[in-house]
Amino acid sequence: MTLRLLMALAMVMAFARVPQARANDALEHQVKAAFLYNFAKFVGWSQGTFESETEPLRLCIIGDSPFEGSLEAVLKGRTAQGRELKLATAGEVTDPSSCHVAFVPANRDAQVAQILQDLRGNGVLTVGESDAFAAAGGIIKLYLDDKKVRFDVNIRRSDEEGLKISSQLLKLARRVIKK
Amino acid sequence: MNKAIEFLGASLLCSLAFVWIPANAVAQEEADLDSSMADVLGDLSLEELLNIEVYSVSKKKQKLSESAAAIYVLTQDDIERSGATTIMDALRLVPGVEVANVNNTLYSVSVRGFNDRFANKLLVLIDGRSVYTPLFAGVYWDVQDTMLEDIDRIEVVRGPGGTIWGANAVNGVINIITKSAKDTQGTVASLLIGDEEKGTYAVRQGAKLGEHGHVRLYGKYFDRDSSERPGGGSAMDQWRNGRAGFRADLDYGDDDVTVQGEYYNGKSHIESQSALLVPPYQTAPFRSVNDYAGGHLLTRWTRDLGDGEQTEVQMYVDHTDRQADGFNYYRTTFDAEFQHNRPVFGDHQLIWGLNYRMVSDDSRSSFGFSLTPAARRTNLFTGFAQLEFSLLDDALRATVGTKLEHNDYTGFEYQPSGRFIFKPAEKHTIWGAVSRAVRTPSRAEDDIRINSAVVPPGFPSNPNPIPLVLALRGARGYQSEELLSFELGWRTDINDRFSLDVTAFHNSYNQLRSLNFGANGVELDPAPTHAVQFVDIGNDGEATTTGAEVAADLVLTEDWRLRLGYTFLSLDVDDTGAIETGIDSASAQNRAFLRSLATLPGGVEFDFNLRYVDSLATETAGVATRVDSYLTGDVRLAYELTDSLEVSVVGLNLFEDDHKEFGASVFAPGSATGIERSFYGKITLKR
Repeated sequence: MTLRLLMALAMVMAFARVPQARANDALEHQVKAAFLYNFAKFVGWSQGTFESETEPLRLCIIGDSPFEGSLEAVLKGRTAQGRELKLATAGEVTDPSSCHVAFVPANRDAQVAQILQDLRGNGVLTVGESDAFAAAGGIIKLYLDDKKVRFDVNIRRSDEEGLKISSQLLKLARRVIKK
Repeated sequence: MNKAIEFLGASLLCSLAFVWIPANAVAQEEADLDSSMADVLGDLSLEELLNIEVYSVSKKKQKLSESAAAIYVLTQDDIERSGATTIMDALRLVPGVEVANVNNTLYSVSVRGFNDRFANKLLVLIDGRSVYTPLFAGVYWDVQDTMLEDIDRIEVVRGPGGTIWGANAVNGVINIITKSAKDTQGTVASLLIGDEEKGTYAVRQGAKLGEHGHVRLYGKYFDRDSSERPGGGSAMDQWRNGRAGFRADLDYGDDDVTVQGEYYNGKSHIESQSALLVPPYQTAPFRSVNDYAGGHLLTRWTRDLGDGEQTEVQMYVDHTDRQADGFNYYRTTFDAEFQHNRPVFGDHQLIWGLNYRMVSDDSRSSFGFSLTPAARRTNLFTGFAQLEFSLLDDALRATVGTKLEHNDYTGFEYQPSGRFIFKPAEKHTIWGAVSRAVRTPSRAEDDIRINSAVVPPGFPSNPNPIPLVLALRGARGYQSEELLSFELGWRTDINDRFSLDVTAFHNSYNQLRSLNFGANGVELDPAPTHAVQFVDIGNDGEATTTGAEVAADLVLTEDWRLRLGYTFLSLDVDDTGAIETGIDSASAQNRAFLRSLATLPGGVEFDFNLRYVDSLATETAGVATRVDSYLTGDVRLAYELTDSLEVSVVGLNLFEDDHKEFGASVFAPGSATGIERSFYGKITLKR
């Protein structure tokens, strides 16, 4: 009897409101920004990539930034690999192949194959957020699954670029694509 | 002991020296007081980032490092790389948790003192299902297992969790959480064989379940060898166990439904002696068989209502059978729970819930153990509410709440707590809590009679011409044990590479269980006629504990990490007038561990643990047993042969042939056995 009452109460509570769930875009990209920063920490570039000890690590956004300032906030005052982090957004990227990390937003899906083709062979860690990006040979894909941000790593492509992805990062990847 | 402390101290210093250089560079950078959400996110580890729900605005709920409680998390990676083959052994690498083997099958696990095989101040949950037994308010650890590969994480909360978790969460809560079926797609098969581990076979298969769901099926069997009897020879404590289960997760957008079930069956053995009413009044040592079986079925439904509001309904049925030396115990538990959390007055958060639990049991008594009445059904009703305030632009948050329950043993019980968390500066968090918690009586404390020994006629302690039975018995008037706890903690991320977590506590216990000499008399049944001296349980014990726990995490390079833990505990028990129970010396004063997790060039994982536990000096009813301190180490090497095949080799307890970890206690007499050095190899196929 009491149990039935409790169950009834539970049902009423659960249905009392019309559900209105949606991804929180701003939060999603804040989390993705934090991931980008972590990728810069957990990926090793081959010797000779940096010309000097003090050369900053360059992160570029190829296209309109979906981060709304959050990537700047994450990078501000932080370092990776003992290097200062420098962010270049759309207009500031003159030579994409000089970037160490290049983020390709989903809004560039139409041109993603060409963008990745241009970056190929320059030791750039490419990070994207769409299936098109992964299909075109992007290295790390960030995506939403079960309300959380996940990532896949294409390790064949990172090997080709001479990037060493730490085992810690690989362990946490949802999928590691090896072929 | 001193050497061990010196060694750990030296390792800590070396590690500190290593990370302090980059730390300065970071410290000089200006602290951005107007820290935005994104800035906070930058401080999170990858594991933490993976746990943030971007659908929910409530970031606080998701972040363990922002809890106003002493929390430590073992991730799947931590468990795998510890080399542990049981959940209990993995818990050895959590600061503040005491794990000691009485022998190979009896585990004593506790937090903040009072360790015993029947330790009763710890709540253990597996996927939201309480696995503590209301029979003695402790845990039958020999049945707690699952596929270790499918555990997502183990969250350990030290200190009272009474407000949210309910009675029995007096000194801590261990929350074992398995992965969603979605994250366990594909096949995993593993084979583990060694000198103590005679074979562990585990298989899991994941599959899609319609359009919205995923499911996994798993099975596991293991067979373990006995430990070393003092003086040599097998201690007859073999253990084998089989289990099979499933978990299905259905995702309908805002509604998530989980259904899981399991059946297990096994036998754990100990060397035992039983009391007899006729000469020689005690049997020869024999292999006592704990024959157990059980299973459960659980459903949980969570609904996301948006804007940080959530509801959860959970129900489960759990059945367990256990038979040992003629005493059989059968129990069915039904539990239903509802929880609701929502933001109120802007950024504040309200969590409330209701719970009903029915426990129905039956037993068959032996000469040694009996319950009166043999069968009993009890009801437990619980409600709780907790409000979290956010003050000073989120720099200060406070939580107040209480739990109110009604149980059939002591009636109403309340468990309030107040907590705060304060961020005085970037990278520093200070938290504190004052809580009251109770440990409600167990079925045994109400209804049991244990004929623990028979003293032959003519012995100094038995002047009668007939045998004298020493009988321990429960009392219906037995009250809840009470705790008032004060905690203070400090967490800091000095930089990307070094984080530190320090907690201090002072606990004051009242109405602790005591054993007192009771009535005596003559009994005709069972024959032959015998005298009886009762030992009654009472609430005459008082105790205070003071202690500290330290956890440190050091990232030396991207592929090499160290984790350190240190625990100090001072326990002062006042059981004046009662029989000495030895509880005050069954927990070590100092414990420490250092674990190293490294990936060598070429992809070989090389991990080791060093574990130190101070000496124990138990004195139980005048019989002293001493357990020496020990320092031991474990090593693990693992290598991925192909994309889907991993091999690992592990050596456990390497420093000695065998070592003891625990002494005798009132409820677990007989001597502890030597836990032996062991090796095993493991092959895991994942595809």
